[in-house]
Amino acid sequence: MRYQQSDPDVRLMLRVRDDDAGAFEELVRRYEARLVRLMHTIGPSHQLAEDLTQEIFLRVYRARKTYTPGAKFSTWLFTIAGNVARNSARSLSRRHEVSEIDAPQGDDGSGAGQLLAQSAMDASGLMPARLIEGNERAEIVRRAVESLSERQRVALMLSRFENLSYAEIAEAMQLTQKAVKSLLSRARVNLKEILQPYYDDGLVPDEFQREEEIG
Amino acid sequence: MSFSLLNDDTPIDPDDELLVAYVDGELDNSSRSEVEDRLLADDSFRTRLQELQRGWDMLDDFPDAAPSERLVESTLELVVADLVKGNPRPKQSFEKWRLPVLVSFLCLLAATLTLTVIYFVRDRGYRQELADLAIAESLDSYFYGHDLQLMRDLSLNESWTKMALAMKEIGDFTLTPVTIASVSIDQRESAIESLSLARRSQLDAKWNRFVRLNPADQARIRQTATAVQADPNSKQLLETMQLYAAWRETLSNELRDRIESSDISIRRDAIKEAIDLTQLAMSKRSGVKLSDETIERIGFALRRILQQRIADRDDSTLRLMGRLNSVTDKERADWIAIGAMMVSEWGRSGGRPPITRPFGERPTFERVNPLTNDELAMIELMLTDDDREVLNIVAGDPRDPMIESLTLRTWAEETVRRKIWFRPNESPKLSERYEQLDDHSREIIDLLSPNEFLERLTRPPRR
Repeated sequence: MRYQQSDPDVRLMLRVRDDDAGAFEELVRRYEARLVRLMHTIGPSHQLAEDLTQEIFLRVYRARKTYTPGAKFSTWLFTIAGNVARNSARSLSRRHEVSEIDAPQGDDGSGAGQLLAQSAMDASGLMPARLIEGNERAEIVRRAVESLSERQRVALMLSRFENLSYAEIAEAMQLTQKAVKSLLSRARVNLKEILQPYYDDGLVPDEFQREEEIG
Repeated sequence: MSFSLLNDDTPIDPDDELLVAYVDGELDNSSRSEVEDRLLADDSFRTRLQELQRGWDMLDDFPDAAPSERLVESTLELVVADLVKGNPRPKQSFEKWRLPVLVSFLCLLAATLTLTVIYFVRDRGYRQELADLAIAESLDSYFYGHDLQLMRDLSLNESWTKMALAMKEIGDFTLTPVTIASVSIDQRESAIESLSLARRSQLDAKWNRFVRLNPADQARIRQTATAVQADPNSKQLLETMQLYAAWRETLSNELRDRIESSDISIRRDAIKEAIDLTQLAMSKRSGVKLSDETIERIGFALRRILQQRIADRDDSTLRLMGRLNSVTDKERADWIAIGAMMVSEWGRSGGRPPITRPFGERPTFERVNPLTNDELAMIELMLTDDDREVLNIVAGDPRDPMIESLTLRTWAEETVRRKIWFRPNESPKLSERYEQLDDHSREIIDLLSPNEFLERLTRPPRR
């Protein structure tokens, strides 16, 4: 009942439970962009981000009759989102349809350097020393996030962009708070390591490119 | 420059973890104060925080998602389409349970088929038993009457037909009604239940006999039954077979063999001979069936015959009466004289005298003339219509003169036997007396105690 009183989204969802189509439309509008962004980050493919977002809303609507407010609505929603993303990744993996360019990197982050080098090449053509600005920086950041492990990415997105507390992230990801704390610490350290060359010098190091091209 | 990222299992520097929790606001007050004290005192710790924070701050450049303008609209359309299509959960649930349900259904189907086959086989066997039971009901008929040509010949034989009628009317033979075979197989179970205990017991005995037969005999009997059922006069044919089966039991083995011979002439002669023997036997046996009224009527006729002979001054009769009157009263003398007419008959026919010596020593009576045809006609005149009907049955219609004469003499003997005033030494055996009882009397006497049973059977004969 606590969340029912404090979380306006929970109240909306309760109206959806009573077949209020307007309330559902409002929820879709509120979370649509956030879920698309999340699916871009944790989903198996950018092309599937919107489809997966629709799948999440479809599941929410199907589950409306059994919905009971036990946490913030966003926590419940992102739990569903995580499940949808994982299931989609499994399905694509089974069908061998995952595109290499869109596939998230492995947990060990071994492909991070190659990914970033490729991003820099894509952004600056054949001039690696070119200053990286604007959209190009956004692409570098996006690739940096994608280079994290799946769980680090999810924890980072929920913390950084959805402002969920450790406890809420733990509930959404079905982990302990300590595990969430460790995931976020590793994510921050990894981002620092990946992005430091760029915010220090604004350049893509030649050594890094050569090393990654050889590697 | 090279680096490797921390995966989810790589140990993390406790200071990094502490600083991350600090910037995320997840530390309690005391921990936060400690961190802030260290930040003030430790340059490297502060630099580390700045590095972590700068990387985090760069996420501000993380590209915003730009969902298509129609995403909300298409999402709502998708939900509506899902609603129209119906709730997919049951479908998913069905998909989940489809295989178990299918396997269960197939198992159920297989079990049903198996049970059906078992039921069908058992039902078929049971129906075959019900069909055989109808045959077993007339087992003797089918067993001994398998020569259907002989049966047809007998049914067309006038003498045999008359004899058969006499057997049913005079003899102890009674046709057993066909109960089971007269109803369809589906109704036979209830027909069995409706049978009396005695009839059911008889049927059970016949069934056991049928079951004990070897398969070849069973097959032969089934063939006979099928042939009888196919005959246009199946009912009459089966009755003939039943009568024949009972009749042949009264005949000698030698005569049976000749009747069932394949030689037509031997068979014809044997049938004629057997019919004559049976009619004679029934003629003699018919006396015991006479009622007391008939005995009185015949007795009256016999006394008139005696008086007529005396009136006609018959020498032998007068001499006998003269001697008898000197030793006994007139009533006894009359019946002894009448009995003497029978003695003459017995001597002539070779039969056993029914009357033993009335006195302790052998009398030296003169022979009296036997009953003449006119005297027999006088007896016949005294008979009731029912008695004449019996006579017709025994002697045939028109009557066979020889059988008629023999039957009337037998009845006269029976009259003398019953009228004689002393108990004959050679009384009928107990078994004979028992057999002479009608069905009703038998049912009564069967329920008596042994002493009462004996007392009832040894009572003096009716006068």
